[in-house]
Amino acid sequence: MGQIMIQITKNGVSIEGKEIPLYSGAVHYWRIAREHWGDVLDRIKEMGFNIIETYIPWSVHEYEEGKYDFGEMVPEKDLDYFLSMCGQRGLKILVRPGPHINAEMTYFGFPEWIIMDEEIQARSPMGTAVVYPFVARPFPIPSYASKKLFEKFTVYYERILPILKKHDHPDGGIIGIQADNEMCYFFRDSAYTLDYCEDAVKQYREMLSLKYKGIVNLNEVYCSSHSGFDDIYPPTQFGAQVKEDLPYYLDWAEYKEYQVLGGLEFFTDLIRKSKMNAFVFHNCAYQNYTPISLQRSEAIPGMDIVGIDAYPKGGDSAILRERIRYMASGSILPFVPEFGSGSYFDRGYALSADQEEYGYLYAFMNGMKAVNFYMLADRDRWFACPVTNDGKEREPYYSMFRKMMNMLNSSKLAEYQRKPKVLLYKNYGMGRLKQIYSLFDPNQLQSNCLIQGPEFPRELFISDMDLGVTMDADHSHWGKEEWIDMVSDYLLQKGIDYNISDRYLSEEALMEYSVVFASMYDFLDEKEAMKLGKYARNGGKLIVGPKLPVYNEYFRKYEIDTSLWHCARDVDSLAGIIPDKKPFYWVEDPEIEIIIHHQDAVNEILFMANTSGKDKAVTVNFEGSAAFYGLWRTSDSIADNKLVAPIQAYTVCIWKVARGGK
Amino acid sequence: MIEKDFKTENLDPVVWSRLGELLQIAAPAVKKLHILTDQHRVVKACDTCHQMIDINMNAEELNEDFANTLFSKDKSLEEVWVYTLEALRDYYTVIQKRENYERDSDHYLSYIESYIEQCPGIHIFRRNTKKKNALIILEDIIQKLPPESVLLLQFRLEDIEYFHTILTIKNSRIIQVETLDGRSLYDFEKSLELPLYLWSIKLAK
Repeated sequence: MGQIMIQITKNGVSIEGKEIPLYSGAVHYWRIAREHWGDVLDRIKEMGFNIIETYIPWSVHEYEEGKYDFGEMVPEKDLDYFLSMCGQRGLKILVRPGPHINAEMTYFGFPEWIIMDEEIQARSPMGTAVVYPFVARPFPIPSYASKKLFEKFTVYYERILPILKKHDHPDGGIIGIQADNEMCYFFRDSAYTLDYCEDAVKQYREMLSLKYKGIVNLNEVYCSSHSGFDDIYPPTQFGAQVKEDLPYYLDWAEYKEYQVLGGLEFFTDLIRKSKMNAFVFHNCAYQNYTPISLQRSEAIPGMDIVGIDAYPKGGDSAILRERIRYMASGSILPFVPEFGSGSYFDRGYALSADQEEYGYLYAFMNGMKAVNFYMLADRDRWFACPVTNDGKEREPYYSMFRKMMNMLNSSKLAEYQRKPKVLLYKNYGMGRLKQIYSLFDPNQLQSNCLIQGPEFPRELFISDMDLGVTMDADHSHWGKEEWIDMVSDYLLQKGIDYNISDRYLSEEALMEYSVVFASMYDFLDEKEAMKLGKYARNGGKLIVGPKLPVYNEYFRKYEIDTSLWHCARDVDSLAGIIPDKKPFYWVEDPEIEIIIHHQDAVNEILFMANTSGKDKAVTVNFEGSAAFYGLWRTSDSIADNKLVAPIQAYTVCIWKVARGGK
Repeated sequence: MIEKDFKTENLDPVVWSRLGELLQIAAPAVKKLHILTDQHRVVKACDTCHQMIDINMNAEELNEDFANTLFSKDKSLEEVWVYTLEALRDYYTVIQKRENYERDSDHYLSYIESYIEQCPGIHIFRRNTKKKNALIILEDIIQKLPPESVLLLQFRLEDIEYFHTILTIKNSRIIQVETLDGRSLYDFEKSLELPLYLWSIKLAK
């Protein structure tokens, strides 16, 4: 067995035993004039980056089926030379060969001859293709169940492989390679919008066969009399009449997850078989709910790390907090593979440098450990980056990045850990139930600010069928749960730091928390119930609500021992269960958040965020004396019991702290 | 009108950040009431503020008079959409057919907007005439220019330039979108091979 030369660690990436932080930024070589490549890379180095990232778009290099251009015709397509230039500058590289790349490209990086191939297209319940109404050109969404798509992509991948191998570590700078990009039905994550193509239906039956291990078992669960799996057709709308009908629909939700995982497995395996030394990674667009699971994706053999992208609005705190804390609990290295820097041309706006700074530092505060800024250099269909497409500094973005990268590198922030002892455990099964409870899932006919076609409110199509199964009050399947929101508000108010996860968190990781708040309704998967039961028996404090489960995943009554589970239906009951103890550093103002990262028993970094639009003077309370060394928007001071600090609207302040005042 | 491989470069962050607001001014989001019916009765109704509305009526009563009554009761309501599930499925079947993927995006947008007005089983009642979307307005301007030209489209708020964009047009199709992004108009014009046209629009305060 060969020596592992590149490995993801909890702090970054270890290359030949030397750990470096994973801070990188995107450049699109084929969209920058070749004569400016050097200047662009030099500006990026000057900002403090040692890693860059680039897509390798299929449609650019295989412009017609079987016809390739790697710089022979268009100089900007010279991938080999670009990677050499990075290597000459000592830059490490992450490559993203697709096939999906989005990148605001017409057909999202897929060649036209692929996208227009009807055998490759996903299908709607009506049997048509499914449109993505992008401003460059509306196109039919491809299916990740299509075997032909995988075959055709393999041909392309084998064509670029010699170039990748030439630049693979240790011969070149490539240290990471992405297995596809934001795989999830092109943002159509509802149950019944797609995918009903022939390959998908076949794959759905294959999943049922694997799950039930025989049609008899399926018939028992479905209360049906199918003679074989080929008899079963996927649901195109919700139609359950009794709760025992639910497994048929929930299996469709599970299939949507299965298709994504299957696609991801294929691309991961393709890369692994090509014997690249680079680590393999993937990015979810924004979902931390069905049909996506970061933990399950990261558990795919050969996959090293999976993250969730972030394109926050100015001053956004809530969404960033939720996604980063979700990654912080479930991933080996909480990594944002695309963190917006600048903006896509059809977003309608770009954030200011101050707004970007707030988002980045608030994400670090909440546990982000690794990041790829997307993009660092302007290019076709993207603007407001710190470097222009001819390699000049664009202020004030350039100075903000240079200063921030200097702080990140000099403070060794990546070596510090945020370790909350409280976990919010969301109910993934409720997400599935809400997802399938629809009579129609209209495809979205919108694409950012330029294409705004007809829109139909989802509320109209939610089934009114009462099956005697409690539904969460929030009808969206995309992650919100009323009980979880109530608990997170309570914890935030008390200044208690917490992570977020769901049923796919490993047992080992679950045991690291002292307190787990798990949302529960009428039904709970038996294996999940056992895992949580074990957690409580091992001394963990398990608080559940708003209900205790009475049915298993097949909606059959079951008995589970919940004697060690605390049930909290409302805020008042929470107050009785959680001791009212203040954290070490605390503030009175609910709009100010504080989080500590520890390096060891002595060294810590204190983050303070002003999540409001008002400048404030904040008193940070603590016991004893402490020395505060200013790292970001702060100055040095030694204080006893309290520190008074000004903090501007939507900013993050950072100190290195030595308790005891030394 | 929009070439599928059009380029968008040199976008000034401040100027281009006003695009979203400008599009809102051109076609502001309006309050709509959506009514889902079956063959006989109202099934559900919901407005674009996500408020469910209780309407206990027969489907055939949902006509223009009914819409006008709603408009007089709710001054913020601009449109009433009435449809069945079957009609929506038919709509999506037609607009997602194979032949649509050859259309330019602006033509596709016009098509899906006009077909919804004609699709059997879907009825739309409006208080006012529907505003043209920005891409259609732009197409009207481009059709007035020579097929090979450069357009500097400027929006002014009193004496101040609020937004501008420069569109390179070939064969009456947009192939490039940019802003001056720090370049002087004089130098920019000198670099052009095609004639430059200025179209200035004054925004109401």
